[in-house]
Amino acid sequence: MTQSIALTVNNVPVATTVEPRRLLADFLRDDLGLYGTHLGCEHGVCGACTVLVEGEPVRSCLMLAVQADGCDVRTVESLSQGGSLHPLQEAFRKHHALQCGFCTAGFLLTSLYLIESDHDLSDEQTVREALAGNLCRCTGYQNIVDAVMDASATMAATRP
Amino acid sequence: MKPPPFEYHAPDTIEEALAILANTGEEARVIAGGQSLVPLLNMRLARPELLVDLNRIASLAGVSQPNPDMIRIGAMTRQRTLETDSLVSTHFKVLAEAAKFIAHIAIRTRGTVGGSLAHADPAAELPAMMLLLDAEFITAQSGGVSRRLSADQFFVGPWSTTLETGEILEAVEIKTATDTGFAFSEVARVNGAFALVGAGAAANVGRDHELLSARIAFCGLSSTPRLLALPSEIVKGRPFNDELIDHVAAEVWRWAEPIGDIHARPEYRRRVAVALARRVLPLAVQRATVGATS
Repeated sequence: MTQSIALTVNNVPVATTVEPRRLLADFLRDDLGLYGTHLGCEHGVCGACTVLVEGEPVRSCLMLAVQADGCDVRTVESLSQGGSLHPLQEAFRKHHALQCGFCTAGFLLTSLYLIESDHDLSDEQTVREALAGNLCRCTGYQNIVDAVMDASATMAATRP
Repeated sequence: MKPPPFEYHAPDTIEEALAILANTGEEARVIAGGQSLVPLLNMRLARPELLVDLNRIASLAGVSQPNPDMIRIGAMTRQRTLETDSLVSTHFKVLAEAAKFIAHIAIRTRGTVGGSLAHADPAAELPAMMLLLDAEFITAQSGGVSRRLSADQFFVGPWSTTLETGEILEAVEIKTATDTGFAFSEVARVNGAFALVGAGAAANVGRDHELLSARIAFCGLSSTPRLLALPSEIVKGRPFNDELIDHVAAEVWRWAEPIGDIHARPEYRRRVAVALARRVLPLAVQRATVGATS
């Protein structure tokens, strides 16, 4: 039994039908082909599935696609523009803030939200706490923290 | 794993939601923020036949001040809203303080106040906070039936409330308490993890900033939130000094009935409860203002 939904994903209008039990994460991945969003735990603790819904971070593994009807959804695919890396992605590259990359999309969108909402990212401890909802098994986090602090400064400098 | 199939409704009004629940009975569940329910669905630990989604019912969300003495928090108010709402900040900043301990931002953007209360996880911060604040729980059932319950009448066991089949939590109402000082803190294994123990304190002070009354509510300590109203022979009229804090600590030690599980043994939780009492009560006293009558 499917339902119609209409939403915007990465600024592109999408209208389709889904089963109510379809998770937003699986909808983005398998129905829309946006495989950048990853599923690590499917119960909300790892953060790999984090996307922005109405500009706020959300666990896409804990949201039903039908609940995103009428919403604006942003995934990691929206970050790079015309082949150029977003300053956050550039910072992750510069600081070697990823190895396998599985957690990275979640970190990028969480960080994007923190930076754009003027969250205090001035000291390392605060950044670590703010990112505590995203787990990484590869890097040991230091390079991720460095990248986020660097990007925060860069993006603040270039904000109008 | 993925959720099993279910019928799904997302009504716009409470009345519609209650009617669907009344018609379906035990096999229906409501979905609020989904931060506790969807994991259960994903692991197929819950297999409801029908879900009633409350997210489209605008009247269920929001913080308001129906009269000067009361703050009302709709059940569908996001936990994140507690951190940003100006009424909460003005009257019960401690709720923002407690909300920051709830998981992580990405959980709090969807998770709701009512959902946390109705789920009644023994480690959850909001049930203990509502107990501390002496909140009234307002419920709704089809046919216009509404009940008003105290926290003690609402929470009866681990993940267990007195909500009946087909009944939803509509809002909580909290009487304002301008002179009372409040504080909340928590110990968890890592940032955002479930509380091992959390404690919220409320204190009222007299003209010389001496303690008049104090109470401490705990989450994670027992199978429901627990409130310790500090006996007047311990606190009343005494100067708030190290000796008094030691008396309070001893009382918490004596009073606590801690649970043990894979995360912590009972005696560890007892120690943490005492440590948190030592942390939050002085803060609450500091934040209290001298009342007009003392």
